Amino acid sequence: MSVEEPEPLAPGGPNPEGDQGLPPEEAWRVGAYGVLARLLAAPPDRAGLELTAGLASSPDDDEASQGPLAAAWRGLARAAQGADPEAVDDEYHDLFIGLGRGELVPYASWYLSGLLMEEPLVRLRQDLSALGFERRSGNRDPEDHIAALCEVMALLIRDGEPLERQRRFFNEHLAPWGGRFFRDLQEAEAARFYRSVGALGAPFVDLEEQHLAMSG
Amino acid sequence: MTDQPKQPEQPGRRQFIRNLAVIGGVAGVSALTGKAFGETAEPQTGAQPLPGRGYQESDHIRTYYEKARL
Repeated sequence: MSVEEPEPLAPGGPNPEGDQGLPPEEAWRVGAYGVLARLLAAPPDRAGLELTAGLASSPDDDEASQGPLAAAWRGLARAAQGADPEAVDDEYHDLFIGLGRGELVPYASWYLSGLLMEEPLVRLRQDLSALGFERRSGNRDPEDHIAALCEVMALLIRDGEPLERQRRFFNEHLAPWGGRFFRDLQEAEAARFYRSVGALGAPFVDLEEQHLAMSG
Repeated sequence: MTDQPKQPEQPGRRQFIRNLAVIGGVAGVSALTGKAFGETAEPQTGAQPLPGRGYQESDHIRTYYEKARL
């Protein structure tokens, strides 16, 4: 048992010791999806970059040096170490926001149908509703943003939803375009820090595809 | 393998996962709520209202969408 400390993932959850009682592999998956969601929903501020850089801070950290996607985690941490928050903010806007000038459009509908808010979003809303998710009041971004999909996966795993349910959501909404999106991110012209996010996300999506195909 | 709960936990791995949770769980990050990160878990009190009918897109998305239609 470890020392008790606040657990941001599950305040008030049944297990305050740090991993919600999940097996380490599942806690790792929750964490990986959470990091991707966090970094893709908005540019990290200085504190966020410092936390990310800290992923590489311990040289004897087994997981960072040998665990799944070790090189990608180290790359992300290194990129965060040297990153200036303002530059990352600009980069984020160049990549994802600019009116018709954002280099990438991080929405499933766009990737799958070539238009925003098309059929893939309709199907996603039906599935989210069935899973008990709703829109955050005041937030008007479509739900098929890559960050939202990563967050949903994190929550499905955290809440112990059956693998079949995880697999169906992943296969329907992330697998068809997630790998392509992260590879595009790796190669985007405006990408600096986010290149390393793409370099983590691409193999992670592949790993998830294998994991979910094998399980259950 | 995912079915080895008895596997001894390395402190490095545990700390690493904890760090991931800190980064990824700082706030509810996306457009979704109800089960979102950073929110106190709410008791299940029955059916949630359906999302979506009164959906409004954000301005930049709407502009982008209109451009894409041209």
